[in-house]
Amino acid sequence: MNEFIEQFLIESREQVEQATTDLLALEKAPGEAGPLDSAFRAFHTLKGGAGIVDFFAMGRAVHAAEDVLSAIRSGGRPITAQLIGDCLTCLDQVVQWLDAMENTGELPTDAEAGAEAVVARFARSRGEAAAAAQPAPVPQSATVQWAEDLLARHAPLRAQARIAVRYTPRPQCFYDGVDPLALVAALPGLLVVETAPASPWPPLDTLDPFVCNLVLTALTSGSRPEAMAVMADAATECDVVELAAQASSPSPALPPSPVLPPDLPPQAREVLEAQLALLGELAGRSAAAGAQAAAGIIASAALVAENVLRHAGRTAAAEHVARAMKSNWNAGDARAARNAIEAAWRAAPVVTTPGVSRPAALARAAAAPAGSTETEAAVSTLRVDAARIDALVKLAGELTVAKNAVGHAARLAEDGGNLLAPLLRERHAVLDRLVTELQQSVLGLRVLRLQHAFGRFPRLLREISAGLGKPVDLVIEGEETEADKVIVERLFEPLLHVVRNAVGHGIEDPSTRAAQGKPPTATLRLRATRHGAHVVVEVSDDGRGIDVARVRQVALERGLLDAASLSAMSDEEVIDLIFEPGFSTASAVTGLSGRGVGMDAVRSAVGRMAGRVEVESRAGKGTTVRFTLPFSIMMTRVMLVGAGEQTFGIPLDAVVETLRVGTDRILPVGAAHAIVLRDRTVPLLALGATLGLAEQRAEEGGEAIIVVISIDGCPSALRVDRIGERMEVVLQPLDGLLAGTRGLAGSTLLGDGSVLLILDLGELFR
Amino acid sequence: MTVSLLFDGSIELAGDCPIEDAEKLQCCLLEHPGAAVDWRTCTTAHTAVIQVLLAVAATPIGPPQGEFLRKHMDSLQNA
Repeated sequence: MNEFIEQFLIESREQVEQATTDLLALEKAPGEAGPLDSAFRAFHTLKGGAGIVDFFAMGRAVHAAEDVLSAIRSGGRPITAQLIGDCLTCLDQVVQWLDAMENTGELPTDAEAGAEAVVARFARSRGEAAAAAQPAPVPQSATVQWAEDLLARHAPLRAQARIAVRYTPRPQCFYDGVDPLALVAALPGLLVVETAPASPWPPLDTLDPFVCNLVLTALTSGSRPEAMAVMADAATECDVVELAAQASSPSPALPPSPVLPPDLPPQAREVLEAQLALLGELAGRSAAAGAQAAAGIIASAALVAENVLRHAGRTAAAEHVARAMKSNWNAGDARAARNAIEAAWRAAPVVTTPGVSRPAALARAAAAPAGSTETEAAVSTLRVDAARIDALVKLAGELTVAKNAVGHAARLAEDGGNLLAPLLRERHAVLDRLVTELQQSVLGLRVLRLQHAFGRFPRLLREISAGLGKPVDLVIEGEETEADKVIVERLFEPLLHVVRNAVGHGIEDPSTRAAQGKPPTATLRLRATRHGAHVVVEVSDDGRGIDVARVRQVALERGLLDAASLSAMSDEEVIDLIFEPGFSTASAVTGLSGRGVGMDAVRSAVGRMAGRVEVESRAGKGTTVRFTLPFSIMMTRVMLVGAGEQTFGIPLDAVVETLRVGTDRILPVGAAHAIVLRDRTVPLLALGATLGLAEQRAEEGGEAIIVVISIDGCPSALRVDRIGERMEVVLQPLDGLLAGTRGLAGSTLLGDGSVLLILDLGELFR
Repeated sequence: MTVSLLFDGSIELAGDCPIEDAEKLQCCLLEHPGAAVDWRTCTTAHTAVIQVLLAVAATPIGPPQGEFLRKHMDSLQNA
């Protein structure tokens, strides 16, 4: 895929997300300027991005939305749910295009129709709002219309003018150190500048002088690339129209602009001059200054010059400078670089820019290096391909294995009375600390905020609740909580399931709620918190809660359990039945007050992430579904257990306790075994026998080692021969011949190089 | 200070007027509504400063010293 398109896709998705958040915030609090400005910016940036990849259809669609927001900003239109809806529809269309581009790597070919539909939608709502609002017709040719109008107002310049520039600086631009008029003043061949307010001027006492409210238009005799070079940082805020076709006789005589190397903009000249001065100074200094320091100065001066020349489109000159630098800088000889820069500087025709006073230009030149470091400082986040991070995670995992091997070697040395043993042990401790730190940092790279999962809900809930006619307020808490990327990504589906159920079944319709003295608008809460190595995510509603009696009845009807066991179960245990496969079927769901739609699917999805899900419900008060998920699924804490000659790992999360009991306490129940623990009968499996290994050895003293584990909240007992150490391992999924083996969750390498198989306890006991 | 209030009640913009001057100019204009703005010694002015002049539709006493202001901000002169 073209890297521009790749970048475009990433950025556009971010902007869509931002715009969606802002629009929803705006709908909630129409008076707030913050979300409105932010949404406007997001649409504006989307439009700019579309322009960069020449995706004009998208540009038009987004422009229509931007216009509406702009009218709202200037007070010309009220915010209505319909307008917000239209803007959201526009974003939906954009997402569809982005998806299509993601698949094909190309611009969608059939985007015109979609863009037309979006534009028509806005036009329709504008028509409906026309009575209230100022007419703001934006015909498609408007982008050219303003240029023609500008030219018409300055008819005498028609012969000279080659391009028209319209620059709408973003309102906050002053804070970024941008001086829009100075930028325009630096346009090569500037002929005329016009200023107009972007929205009508407020009274002076309410004017925020540091918010830019200007649209600047200019005519220049320069070329488009020249103008774009000057406006590079504000490219998304500029429309540049080439007037060549409209200009009369003199221009055809000129050769087409791309053939000529673009002139050096004055700032570029200034920067080059500064580099020359620097190199000149260096030549004057004594050799004692040190060849190394000199070489550094030469290299940086040449690099600056090279970049400036490249930026100005003078690639050949830039390469010349680069070559000159490479050949000589090591020797601390500035001459070659200086000559090359000087040659480039001389070759560039001097461009006189009307109106740029020398001090201003100098100040800009002086500010340029500082400005560039500022940009560098601003880029504090990096986009990295997830695959690279995964490779790093894998490496760190292997390092853990290697570290464990050193530990093993240290133990061997100790047992053998080797003198190196203390040294090895000490090194191992250091290695252990470093590797653990590395592991944590690397895993930290894969961390995402839960916002990525939560962020889609405001929008989805808006639709779900509108569809069902149940107004719902969404409260999101702890969205800044972090978890592994895989967890955050996989969490979305089960969460959506639960949210749908909550609105569909848990929350009553407004009239029922009112009758019960509840506020007609229900509240749905998404909440995330971090508890040590776990992340807890809760979905709570204030609906009617789960009808326990009905669950008992349905469980009986479905034959899940018999009446006797049902009556022995507590309410909590009964409610947990909704997670049973086979509990919910379509007919059961409609009758059931509350949950049930595929909750078994939710539990299994969460189980695949090594998490668990439970539900808590109070009749008439509401229901809370709680997901407890591991922070990361890459690292697993295991306990080693032995059966026969073999050692296995079991996830430590599942282990409740380990105990030794007399073999006489193990009772045969039919073909199976069970054990009574704290007055409770717990099923017991002998690990060796279950895995088809050697028969369990007879214990001396008639004792058995039991590991009590909890599977979906139910205690079960595992009889093992040995219990070993506890350790953190990087779980590798089984592949090849072992893939799909029942009862195994994965494997990992032990310190002595042997393979440890990690058991999937859930499957063993199924 | 590149923004100053003169004895005759007019406001003078002198030299290079940086962005901070926008607020000073706004304050001066609020305290002295309708005061004349004299920018004959002004060489450059930040967009924010010009913006304040535009917002009150001021017609500064000119011409300003800076070339850009003189040549291209003439709309202010004639407004």
